Amino acid sequence: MLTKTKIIALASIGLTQFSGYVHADTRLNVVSAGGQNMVDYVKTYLAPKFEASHPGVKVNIVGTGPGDAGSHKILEKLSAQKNSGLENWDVDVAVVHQKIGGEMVTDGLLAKYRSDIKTGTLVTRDSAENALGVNVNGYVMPMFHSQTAIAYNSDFIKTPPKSYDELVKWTQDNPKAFGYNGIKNGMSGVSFVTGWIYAYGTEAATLSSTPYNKDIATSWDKAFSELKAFNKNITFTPGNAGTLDMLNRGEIFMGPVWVDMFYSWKDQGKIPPSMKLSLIAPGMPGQPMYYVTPAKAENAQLAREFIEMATSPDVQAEGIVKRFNWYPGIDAQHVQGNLDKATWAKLFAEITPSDLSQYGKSFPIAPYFDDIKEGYERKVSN
Amino acid sequence: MRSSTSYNLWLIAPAALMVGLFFLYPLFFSLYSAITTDEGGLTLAHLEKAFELYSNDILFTIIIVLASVVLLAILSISIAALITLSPFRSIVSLLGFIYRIPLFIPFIVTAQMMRTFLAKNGLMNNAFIASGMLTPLETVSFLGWSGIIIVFVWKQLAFCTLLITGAMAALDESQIRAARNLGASRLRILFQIMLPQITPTIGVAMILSTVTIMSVLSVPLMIGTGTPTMIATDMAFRINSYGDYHVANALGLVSYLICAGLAWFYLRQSLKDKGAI
Amino acid sequence: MRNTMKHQLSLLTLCQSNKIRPSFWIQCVFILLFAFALFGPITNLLIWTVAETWYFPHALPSEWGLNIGTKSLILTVMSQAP
Repeated sequence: MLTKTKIIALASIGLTQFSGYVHADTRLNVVSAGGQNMVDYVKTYLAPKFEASHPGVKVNIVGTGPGDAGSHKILEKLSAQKNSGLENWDVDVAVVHQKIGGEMVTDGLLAKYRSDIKTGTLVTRDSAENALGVNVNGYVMPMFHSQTAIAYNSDFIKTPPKSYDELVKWTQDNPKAFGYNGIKNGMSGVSFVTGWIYAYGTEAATLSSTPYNKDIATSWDKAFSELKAFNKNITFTPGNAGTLDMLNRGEIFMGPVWVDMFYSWKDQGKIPPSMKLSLIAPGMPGQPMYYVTPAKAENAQLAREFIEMATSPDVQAEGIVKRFNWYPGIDAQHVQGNLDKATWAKLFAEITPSDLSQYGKSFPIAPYFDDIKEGYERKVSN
Repeated sequence: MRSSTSYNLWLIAPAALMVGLFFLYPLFFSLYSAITTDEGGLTLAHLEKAFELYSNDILFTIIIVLASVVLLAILSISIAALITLSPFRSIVSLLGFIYRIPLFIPFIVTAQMMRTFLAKNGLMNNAFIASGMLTPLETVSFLGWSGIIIVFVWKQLAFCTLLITGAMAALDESQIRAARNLGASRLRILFQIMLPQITPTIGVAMILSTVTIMSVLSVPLMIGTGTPTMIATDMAFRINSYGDYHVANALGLVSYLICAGLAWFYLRQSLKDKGAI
Repeated sequence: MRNTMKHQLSLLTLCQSNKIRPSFWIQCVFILLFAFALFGPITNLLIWTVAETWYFPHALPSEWGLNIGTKSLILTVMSQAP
């Protein structure tokens, strides 16, 4: 009996200690999907900036891992809290991928906040309103846009391919010199395959918008069999970073990469300066990451202020464009004024804004996307 | 007496609860999920899909595992034998020290360093070129199936050798001495006296390595090149990209079966050796 | 523990009683190869930790340094951007 009392006493002391600690200052919980670099961005750049302007607020950042899976974890967490009827959800700001952002809106997990913040009017891009067929107008602010493109070594390739057709021809003339990572080891390969279907299957506009028509996927047999033939002339690489690695060591001379990773590696000297980018016709997909805030966020007002700061032109210029080489989330013309010419020129030197608007496509809506990946597994890699 | 039994039960309860909650429940849940639909009805569709899409990968995984395990057995037995039997103590003590190093390097770090080491223009080939053993045109990339095997062997070798050296050191020396006095060579001692006695340990080392190899995701992701790939990658892919836990669990079931098959084979052998069958 | 040591010692004397040593060089070569296989990749990792710039066709890094910003290689690998 005595022991029991002691335990209870100890436990209650522990609890008061703990709760005392928690309430020492307000904690703003930011949960981010995506690679470590995104967590780093919030942790090392946004959080100190926000804490400086909001004394007594502590930003607590948690990463949930790369890819849609990371976003999916946030979705699962929020819907669990919703289903259990909690009044306050312990996520204030979340950074999620486009596809899951749409699902969250459909499930009623998000707050419609864009009109509450001053930067809300700085976004006019289609992807801020339409997330793979779901109307997300008002619920999301794009953090940045990420784009895939073909990287090539300009020392060896003077005239890079401008389209998928030219690329196919190029790989026939230069077997094994093009490399990508299939569809299981990272999104740059998935993106390349999606671009292939846009080129030889069905155009991007149809696949990126609802409604879903399941007969369309059956017409891709020829595209897949051509891709299978194409795969014989190329080298497979291990992952997004693997493609860059092999480009770096001269094992391949061309391959699909994420533009932001490409520039970061180039800045760090991990790939030679002769590497350049080309966005080929009819286009390759890219995607935005969204800032969202849950419908019942505990610190709803602080969350809005955080997002407002994160999408302000100077943060977008300094943090998103200059430090991390991402394309800005808000419209580019608002960011341009805050950037020196060199940085601006670097970001848009190889892929011009007109290339970007012409050939920068969205990913397909979820069911088509699954059709593409399964079709690849069934007909190309099997 | 009675109270002591119930007391004992209480003692093991936390451990049993832990095992049940964090091991048995997930295990049976994943098996259940592999053979049921969302509505709860029994189905073989997930398994069929797993085989339809990933039969090549399953075969590839089995080949990788077998090749790695065979290489591991050969190399770890050679090193352990060298450590135990070699007359040259100074070099052998050096060997005894360095073989353990990979124990302290995690798989993902191993994979990362191998990725740039084994590549076509990686450090290894560069070293060969610099020493004049190869010309730049002759170099080949080991990224792919051979790289995966190399990484697994490299990493697991320390663990297997540790187990096997321990078992060899614990052998009864009088037999070895007797064999020696009768003029047996070291090789003969190894094969006829030592190995038969440590087969159980070798079996355990190989089975534990198999389970590790089947479960490591970072290596096939970073060293492998897409197709074919190992089951772990496919499982991760099913979940990450389709949110499809059923087929992933069906693939998990296949990996259980592969491991179980090996374990069964081993148990049967060891029972046979003991004369039980 | 003590037993094992004693046992190893006696194994040692046992082995040293052997007069013929043709396999010495074979064992040396084996250990050398093993050490190469073991330390090669580790060296590679260590070089990367002090490399700033390292790209084809340089056999070794063209720029050395300890800038922490470029040292997040493993993190970069793990992040399947974005």
